Amino acid sequence: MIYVENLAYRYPGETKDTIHDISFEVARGEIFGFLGPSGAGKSTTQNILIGILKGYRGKVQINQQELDQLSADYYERIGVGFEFPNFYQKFTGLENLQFFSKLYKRKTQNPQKLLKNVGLTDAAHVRFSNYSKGMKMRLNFCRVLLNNPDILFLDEPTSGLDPVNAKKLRELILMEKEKGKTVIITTHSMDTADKICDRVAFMVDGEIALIDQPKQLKVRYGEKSLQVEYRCQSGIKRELFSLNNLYENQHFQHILSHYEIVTMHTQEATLEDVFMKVTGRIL
Amino acid sequence: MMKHLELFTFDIRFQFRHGFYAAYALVSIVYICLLLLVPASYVKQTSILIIFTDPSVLGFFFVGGLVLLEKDQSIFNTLFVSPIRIHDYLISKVLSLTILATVSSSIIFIAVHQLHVDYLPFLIAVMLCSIFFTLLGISLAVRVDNVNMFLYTSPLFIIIFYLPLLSFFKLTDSLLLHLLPTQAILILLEGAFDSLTVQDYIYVIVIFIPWISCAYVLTYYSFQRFLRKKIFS
Repeated sequence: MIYVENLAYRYPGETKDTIHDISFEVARGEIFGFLGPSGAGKSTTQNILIGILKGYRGKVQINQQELDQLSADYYERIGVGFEFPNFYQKFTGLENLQFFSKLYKRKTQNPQKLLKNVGLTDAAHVRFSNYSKGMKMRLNFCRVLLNNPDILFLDEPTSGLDPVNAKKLRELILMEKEKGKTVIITTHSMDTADKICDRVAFMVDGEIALIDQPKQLKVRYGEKSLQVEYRCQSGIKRELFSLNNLYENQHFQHILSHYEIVTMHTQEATLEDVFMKVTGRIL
Repeated sequence: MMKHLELFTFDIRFQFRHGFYAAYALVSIVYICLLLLVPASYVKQTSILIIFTDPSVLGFFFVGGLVLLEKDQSIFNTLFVSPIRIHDYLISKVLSLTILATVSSSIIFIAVHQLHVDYLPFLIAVMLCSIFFTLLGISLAVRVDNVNMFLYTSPLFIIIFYLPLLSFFKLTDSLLLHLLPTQAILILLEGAFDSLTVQDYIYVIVIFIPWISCAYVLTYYSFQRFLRKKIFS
């Protein structure tokens, strides 16, 4: 679906490349996340992929077609959502979506149905200027889906959302994946990346430091141990066991059979820990 | 085609909701009152002066206000990741403001002169003037950060195009003024009261094609640079 090889970009007037030697592939139906601190080059990479920044070096192919040879019809097939979404302030959420839906040649989705899916039915006739950040983000997601895009580019899609709406939005993104849509996410949020991305790319200083599945990364960089909390006469005790040959560990077996287990967790690293270990940076 | 029509009608709705039509109506009423009050011997000159400044000044400043308003509402990054291209955007702005200028100028002229003038050169003048100054207004608006900067720098940007008023007031008669598009506007407006020759129309076409072409190219590249440097950087 998306094939990028040795991509580099230098902004006009700059003396150094903002991104360099970026290579990755994203398959159809995959959710691919770019993780990295501000200034890492995530937005530059996204802006190249959405066709805004021209004059890049290297290869960028969308469905085997070089990106810089694609016509304006490319925007008929993609949906882009920015971190700070904005619409026409003096128009309602519904009026804004109706306007954007008429800009596409291809069949668009019903704006009211989209608003209902993100819980904005009651705000459909409210002016955009009166929307909260969370409502703006949800309206923005509706706009991204308007043209039923093949590829979704989402910048910090859960930013500003409360936990309930963040979960709802993640579910909606996963539903798009199930329909075979490809999703590219740029985010600081390890939680979002961990929960929905099939693979993540760590970006630092304009380069990709690593690409892998979140689960693999957490296992590879985590400690292979199991922490068990159990209730005994003196209260709750905590012990750590190596995962190696755990089934042979007599003490572990004894605890399982003689005490009430309170919690039991493998000590895999968080994505944030992995990021720090790999890049030496914090997000 | 559908997208162009939608963009155009939305531009008109946007201008309406932000009070641009109300402002235009108010200005038109003031102009009509002024023209009805001036002595008969000054009506022609004052009419020409008003119609010369109406689409040019209002087109220039209104489009500057519109672009800065849209920039303030951070609408550009959302708009330009849809199938809208810069050409579509510019054409829609120019058309919507030119129609507004043409309607308001026509109302002023009809209210004051009824059918005693030739409306063909008048309409051509208003339209060309509005197209040219709307393009100039956009190219300045994308270079500045706010309305104040726009107001401070606008005289530098457009003053040269008001030089033909020197010949209008008989202060000079330099042939160099004929190289400016606004000289052609004044000739057309004067032609609404007198008569114009075919040569006059040819002069207007010859002078306006390169000026509007240059203004469009300048505006297009200014806007492209604005999107890359200020919106998507």
